[in-house]
Amino acid sequence: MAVKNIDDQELEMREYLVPRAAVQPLLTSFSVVCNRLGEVLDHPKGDAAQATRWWQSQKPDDQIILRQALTALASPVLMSDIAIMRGDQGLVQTTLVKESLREDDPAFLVGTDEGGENLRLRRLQSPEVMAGTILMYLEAGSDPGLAEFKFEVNPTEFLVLLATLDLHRRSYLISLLEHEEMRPSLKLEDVQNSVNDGLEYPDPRWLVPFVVPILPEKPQLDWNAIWQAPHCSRYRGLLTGGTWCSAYRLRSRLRLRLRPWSSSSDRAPAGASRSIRARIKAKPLVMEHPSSVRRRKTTKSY
Amino acid sequence: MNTPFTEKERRRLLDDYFRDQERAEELDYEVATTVGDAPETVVQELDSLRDRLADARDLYRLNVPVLPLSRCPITGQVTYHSIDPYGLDGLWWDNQVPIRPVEALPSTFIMVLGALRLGASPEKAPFPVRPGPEVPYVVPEVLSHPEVKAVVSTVKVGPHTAYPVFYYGVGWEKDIEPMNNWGANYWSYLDRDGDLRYNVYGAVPVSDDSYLEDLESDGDEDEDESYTVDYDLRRWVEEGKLLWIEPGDQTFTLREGASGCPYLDLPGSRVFSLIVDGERLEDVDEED
Repeated sequence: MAVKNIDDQELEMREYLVPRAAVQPLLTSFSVVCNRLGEVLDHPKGDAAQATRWWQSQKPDDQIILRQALTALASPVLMSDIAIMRGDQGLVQTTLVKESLREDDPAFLVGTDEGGENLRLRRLQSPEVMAGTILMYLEAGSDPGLAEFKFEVNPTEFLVLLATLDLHRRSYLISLLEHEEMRPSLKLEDVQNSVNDGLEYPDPRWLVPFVVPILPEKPQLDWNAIWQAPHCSRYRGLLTGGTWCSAYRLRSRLRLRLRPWSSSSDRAPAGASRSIRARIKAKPLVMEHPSSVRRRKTTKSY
Repeated sequence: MNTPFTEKERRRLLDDYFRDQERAEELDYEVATTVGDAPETVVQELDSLRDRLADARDLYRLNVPVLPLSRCPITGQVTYHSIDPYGLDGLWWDNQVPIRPVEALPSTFIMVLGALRLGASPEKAPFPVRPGPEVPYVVPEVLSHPEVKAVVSTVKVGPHTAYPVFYYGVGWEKDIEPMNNWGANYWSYLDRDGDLRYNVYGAVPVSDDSYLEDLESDGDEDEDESYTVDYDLRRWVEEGKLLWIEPGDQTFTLREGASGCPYLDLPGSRVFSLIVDGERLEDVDEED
C-alpha cells in the first residue's frame, strides 16, 4: 500500500498512437459502456479484425493504459477543449478527457496526428499536471510536467488578470515601436479599457478574447469588480502595488511565465542599433498618465 | 484467437489445457516414482507439456473478458473487471491458482466479493471453485465504515447467475483490511499510480510478530473481531450504503432505495459454496 508524493512520481507522459478506425470496433468487442458525452468524439466505423490485430500487437502493459483510455473516451464525465496560442502564431489544440468525478484522478489528453488517422493519447496522473503543462508550454513549449508556479482565481479576477497581461504586452509592443523603455506600472483605468476592448474585439491573439469563448457566459463586469480584482491579485502575489494605489506592476515571474513572446522585459530589443539603444538607455523612465498613452498613433489607443 | 476469446475458442483452449495438465500430472508422478533417473523421453515430454501449459495460461490471461460489472458511486466510473462468463470451469475461477489479468480499477476500489446461484449442475473442473453463497451478502464491518459504499449487480456465468458486490470508498485504508477478491485466494489490483497492490486476507506478515502476543495472552482479552456476513440487504439499501444495478441494464445506472430492488430476499443457499469436480459442497469454514 505505497503512498507516493506526486513530485516523486515518474509521470507517465508516453504518447500512445491509436488508429481512429480501431476505436469503435474495440469498444464494441470489449463491451465498453458509452455515454452521450462520449459521442462527441465520433469515432469512424472500422474493421473489427484489423482492430483486434492492432490490439494484440500492443504490449500487455500498454494494453492496461490503452483500455483505460478507451473507457475514458467512451464514458467521459468531463471533456475540456484546450487551445494554446503561443505568441501570435502557433495554436495548439487538445482535449482533456476525464472519466472520474474524483478531482485528482488521472485524465487523458486526446488529439489527432497530422493525417487525422490516429488518436494521440497521453495519460496524465492528474488534471493538475495539465495545468502545469499549460504554464510550462507557454513558457518554453516544453513537455508535460508539474509546474512550480500555480494559482487559483475566480473568473472575474482571472479575466482582469488577463486584461492586465494584455495591457502589459501592448505596453511592451509600444515601447518597441517608440524606441522607449517600457512603463512598468499599469493604471487601473487602462486595465478597465483593456477588459472592455477584449470583450468587444474577438481577436484570439490577445488573451481576453482568446478566453472569453470558453467562459460559461459572457462576463458582465462592473467597475467595482474590476477595481477589486487587482487588489485580490496583489494578495495572491501576482501583482505588486500599495494598499490603496491605482497602479500595479506584474510580478516578474508572472511576466516571464505568461509572456513568452518577450525574450527580455524592459530592455531595448536585441536588434536595435547601438545608437538607438544608447538613446533608450539615456532616456529617463517616465511614469505616464494614461492620457499620454492615448496620444500614441502606432497602435490601438487607450 | 480473438480478444476477448469467444466461447468456442475458450472451450478449445480449456480442453487442450486440461488434457495436457492431466498428462503432465501422470508424467510428474512417473518421474517422481521412478527409481534412479527417469527416461529422457519422459522428461522431455514433461518439459514440453509444462511450456505448453504456461503458454495456455498466458493466452487465457490475455484474452479472458474484462467486462463492465459495476459502477463506482463516488467517481461515477463504470468498473471493468475480468471474469470468465462462460462457466465455472474457466481458469479464472480456480480458487487456488486463479488466472486473471492485472485489474485496473477505480481509485476508490476496496474489494469485490460475490455470490453465485447455480442454474444447472456445476461444470467439472480439476480445481476448487469458491464462488460464494447463492445469494448476495454484505460485510457489515466494512460497509459500516462512514466512507464506504457497495454496489451489487448481476452477471451471467454460463447457466448460472452471479452477483458481484464491489466496495468503494476513500480514506479507508487505515481501518479496513480488504478481503480476497471474489473467487480468488488473494486481493490485488493496479492502483491509479500504477502500483500493483497485493494482499492475502488474514495472512500474517513475516515482519509482524504481534500474533505471538495473542498466543501468550491468558485468554481474558477479547478475541480479534473477524468479518461477518449479512444477508439482510434491505437495511443497507435503505440506508443508502448499498446501491444496486438493475439486471441487464447496459448503462450500469446506479439505483438507490429498496423500492424495486431485485436483490432483496432472493432464494438460494446462504452457505458458501465449494465446487469440486462438478459437485457443490458447503464450504463451512469459509462461512465461519
